[in-house]
Amino acid sequence: MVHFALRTLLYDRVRFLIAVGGVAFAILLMLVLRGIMDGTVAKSTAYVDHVGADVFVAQQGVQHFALTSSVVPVAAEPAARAVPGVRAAVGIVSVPLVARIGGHEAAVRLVGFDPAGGLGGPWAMASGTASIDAGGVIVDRTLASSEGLDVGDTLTLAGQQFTVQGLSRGTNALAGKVVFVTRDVAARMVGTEGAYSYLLVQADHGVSADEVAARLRTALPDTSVMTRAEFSRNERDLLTGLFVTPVNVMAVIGMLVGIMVVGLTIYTVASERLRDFGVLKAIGASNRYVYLVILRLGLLVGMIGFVVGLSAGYLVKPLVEYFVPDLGIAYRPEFILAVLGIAAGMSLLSALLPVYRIAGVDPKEVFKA
Amino acid sequence: MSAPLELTGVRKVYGHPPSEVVAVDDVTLVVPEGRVVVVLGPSGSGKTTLLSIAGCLLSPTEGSVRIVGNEVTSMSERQLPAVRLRHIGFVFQTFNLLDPLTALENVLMPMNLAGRGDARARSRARDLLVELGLEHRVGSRPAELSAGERQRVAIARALANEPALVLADEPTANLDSASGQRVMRLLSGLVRAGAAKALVVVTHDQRVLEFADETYWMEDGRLRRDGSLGVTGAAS
Repeated sequence: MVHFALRTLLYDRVRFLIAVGGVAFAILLMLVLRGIMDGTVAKSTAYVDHVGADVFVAQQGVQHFALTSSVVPVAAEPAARAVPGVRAAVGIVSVPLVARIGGHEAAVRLVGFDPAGGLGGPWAMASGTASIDAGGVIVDRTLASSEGLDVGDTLTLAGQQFTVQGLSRGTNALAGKVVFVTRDVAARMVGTEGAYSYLLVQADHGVSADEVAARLRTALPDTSVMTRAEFSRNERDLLTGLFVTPVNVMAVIGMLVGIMVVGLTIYTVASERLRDFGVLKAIGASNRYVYLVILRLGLLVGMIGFVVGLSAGYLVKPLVEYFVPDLGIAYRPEFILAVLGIAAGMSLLSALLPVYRIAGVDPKEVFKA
Repeated sequence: MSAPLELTGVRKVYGHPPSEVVAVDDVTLVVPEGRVVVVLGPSGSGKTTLLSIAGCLLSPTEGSVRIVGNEVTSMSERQLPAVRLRHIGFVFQTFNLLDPLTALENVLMPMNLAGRGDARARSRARDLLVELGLEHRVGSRPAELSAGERQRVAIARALANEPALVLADEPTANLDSASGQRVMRLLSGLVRAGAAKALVVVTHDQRVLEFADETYWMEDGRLRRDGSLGVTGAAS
């Protein structure tokens, strides 16, 4: 079988490369923009997702962690522990803070936790210890790296000097890298002694988070009680809402660029090879065959461009994460599938105009010298 | 056995009165099997219009066109490509090979269009090229071929689906004298050998006449018998 579409496409290699490059760029743009949004949002929910709590108790009406302050009375901690099915309940102090670190101002999230409580502190250490004392601080390693800090160095936070006793991993949310101190120190620093910000609750084995959350809502009626999944989803929805419009606008621009590139390529190929299509019709090709050739041309450019764009996306990912550690990139399979669908759709859409042009080719024109 | 081509009272008029142009005027022509028919005439005489009608590329204003006995003037636009594919082979003045394809693929294309994409089709395409002296050019693209070689590939393509009728439009116009002679010898020889059942050549090249069984002269859309070498055809 002669693959006329493929042969026609490959006949002019330079144009083929430009077309595939254009589509790949459009795919890459869509993929990376959305990937950065998803990755950054995922990073921003890292504390909620990984700290080890099954249920979170916050001030009544508070639904989020980032960019939010919450106050929960200290008395809520023993009250929560008394709820059946609760294995552990630990209060933390957590506030967004603009700190002067190494001569620069940085948005951080100060988390005060009880190192003896086993909950609320860093879940992964790059170096040093998580068991800090009152004069110690654990700094996110990307923050430490950018400010030239290491274990043993001193750091001034809100006018108070600390010794860096550990560097944590996975705690570099865009909205604020996490800086851990002990809970009492944090409460003194922000003036919330006698209160916590959130309670982190672990359920007993065999008891579901939903069950524990329901019991806590009864036991602590003047609070917001959320399972980890709910709290994380609230957080993702908030951050996605902030990003989604500009990202979608840029993704649509990328898609339009892709449609234009494929459309122009196919249209140029169709225009330049108009006589070939006339010949095909003259020797007996049906209109359906000729249209399918054009659609195949579009799909070939789109699919090859998709594969190249996707591959480029995976090459770009570690580079972005290395050079801009504050950003994360996550390519969700469902979004990749959606982009594949968009690539196929824009290829077919791009082929419509050339199909219309080819439809008008009169096969008897091939007799003209 | 039906004749490969029968035109009866064919007339083609462009435009509307009073500025209408009669391109083909009441032409009747029967081309039986085994015959090489040459239509001579000056530019603008209606030769190509006649060939387009015979090739089911253009509908006549009046008259009947039968290809191997099938009346095609009553067929829809969707049915005609199949008639061309199955029964007619075309040889064009400018060869009209598909540049992105090799010589072999150009010959294979009509067979693919007819639903034959198997090894036998490929073998037939190769055999045709070998028969036309192009065994060393099977994998070459048209741009790598000489004009004579391109025309021979076009002939192989025209014969690919074993057509009842081969229509050739000025097949020697873009060739030097020797290549033109060779192409005409090949075409007429293929008809004699039965590879094509009948051949109609329209041309203004008088050197083609030596290969004709029947010769017609066309002028102002009218066809008349001229220098007949046979008796089977009829023209009005």
